[in-house]
Amino acid sequence: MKSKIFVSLLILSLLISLTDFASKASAIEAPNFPLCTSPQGEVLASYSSGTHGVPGDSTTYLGEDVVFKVNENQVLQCLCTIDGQGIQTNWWQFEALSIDQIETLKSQGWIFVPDGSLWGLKSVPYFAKNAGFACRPPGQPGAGGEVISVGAKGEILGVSLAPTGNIVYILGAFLIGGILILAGVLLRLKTRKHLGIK
Amino acid sequence: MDLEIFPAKIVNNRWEITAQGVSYLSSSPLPGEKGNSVLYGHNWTNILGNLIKIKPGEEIVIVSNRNNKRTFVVEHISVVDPENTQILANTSDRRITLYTCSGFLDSKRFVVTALLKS
Repeated sequence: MKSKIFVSLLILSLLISLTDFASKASAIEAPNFPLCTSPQGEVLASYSSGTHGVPGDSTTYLGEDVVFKVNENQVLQCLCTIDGQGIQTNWWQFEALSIDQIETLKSQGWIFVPDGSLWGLKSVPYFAKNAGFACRPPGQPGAGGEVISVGAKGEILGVSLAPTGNIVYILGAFLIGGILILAGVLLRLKTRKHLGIK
Repeated sequence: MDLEIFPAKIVNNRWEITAQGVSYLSSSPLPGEKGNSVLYGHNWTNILGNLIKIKPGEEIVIVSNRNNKRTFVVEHISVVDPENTQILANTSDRRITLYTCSGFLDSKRFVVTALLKS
């Protein structure tokens, strides 16, 4: 019985290792993009109104659209509709990728665009990825002033954003609960053994 | 909601945070000064738990200890990963970035960006 369990665990660990190896072979890291909340780069195009499209989305949107050149391979598109819906599209002109890497990116939500010229970009393939945010609808009275910013990249602070929630307490409660359950099970087993109950 | 603001800093890569109100990252510009002033707080009901209800166009008023009022208009709201520190980058305008935890097991950050009302 014990040998069967050992063999099963061995096979399972081998399968996990193979899966991990396969995923690492096709692993690819997409570049970081600035956020539309504090965009960076040269403005390539700016439309204060009009109808705009989003890759991978058949809907057309009315609103403001600004496109930034982040660097030679990255473009940031910031769309804010008249309803206050924001859509950030990260456009990535990638280097040569393997089929596995392309499929990996697609599984991560990236949309393959064979020809960027249809979207006003270079006539080369791109990957695009959309993210939503809420924005002040164009034309709505607000702060005015300078919205477009040219800021330093975000490594100035180097660490992740502060944890401001209750996760420590939640995990602590789970841990204590788990320990108590385990103690209860062990106690029960010990009692049954003492009483000779199988 | 009316909340008191307390200065805070990052010490040994750990963010100081108060349980009494909102924390202001003292290495960032003061609210209303040129740049990106960073504020954050717990997502508790008595602190920033209701921040997720805010909408673009709404106003945030910050009052200094000298009773100077600065009004900021919410421009953007987004949910980001904790590793996305780009929201903290300095800017050429006058804004505040206010955030708290959100999502499953506080795995995300709810970020509000507001500009000084001219």
